[in-house]
Amino acid sequence: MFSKLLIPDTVDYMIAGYVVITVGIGIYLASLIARWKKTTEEYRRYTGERD
Amino acid sequence: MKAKPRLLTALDILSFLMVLTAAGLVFYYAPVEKLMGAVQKVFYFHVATAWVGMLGFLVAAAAGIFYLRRGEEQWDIVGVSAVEISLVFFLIAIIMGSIWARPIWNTWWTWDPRLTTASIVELIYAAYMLLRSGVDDPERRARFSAIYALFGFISVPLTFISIRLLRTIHPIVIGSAEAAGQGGFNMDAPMKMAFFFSLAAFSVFFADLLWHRIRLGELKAAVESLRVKSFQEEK
Repeated sequence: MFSKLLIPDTVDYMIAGYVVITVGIGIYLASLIARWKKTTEEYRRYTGERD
Repeated sequence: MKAKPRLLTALDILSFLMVLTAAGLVFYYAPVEKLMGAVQKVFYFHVATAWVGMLGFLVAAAAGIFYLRRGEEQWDIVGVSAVEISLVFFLIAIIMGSIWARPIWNTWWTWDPRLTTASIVELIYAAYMLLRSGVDDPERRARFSAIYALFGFISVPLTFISIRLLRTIHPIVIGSAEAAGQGGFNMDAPMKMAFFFSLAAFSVFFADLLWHRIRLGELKAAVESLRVKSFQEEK
């Protein structure tokens, strides 16, 4: 009668956890790319270097 | 301006594939833990991000030692890069842990020794970034950052051993014969595989991000010296 163990439904929390890591890393990567572009533009402005 | 090294491109691809494989192992290979359900899968990336956080703080402390010994700006760039990445990953680990705790401990947060020491670590390194930005002289800033990173690192092993020394509800999954705490569990072979692969994948991803962030730091330093030069020429 009690042999079948019910697994608790905690899928929403799992999804929330993985949304946090995806969004968190995504924001950090976007900030790295934006800063790289901005600094590259500045560097080119000073040196006159082109692509 | 230095061209992007081929090895870095290879590392980009490798880290992407490894993180993707780790996610595949977590979702499709590791079984669902019977007492906690699907939320237990948060554990794999929660530990991996916390590990990367601690690894970065260790790199920053080592870079601090090198800076104090050699006085080369390069080591200051390595230190601040490692701290910046680790702050992000450690914050993610804390938030993921809180999400896991809600259904398992029936609370989002409790002032348990592990949670408290982890929060202190995050605040110590957030202060590192804030205090750095308040020092204008590059040499003083680098020296201050090196010393701060060394002393700040004391908090990292304290966080690691807090659950092993103090009374806590945080589970000890690694290095414990019995799964302790509330929400502890023993890992079977597929779980161990997903866990250790996630650790390896995030370590490679950290190395990749660190290399990118160091390149950005070097470029910023080059721009700064060009700015100073052009200012002096204008005078």
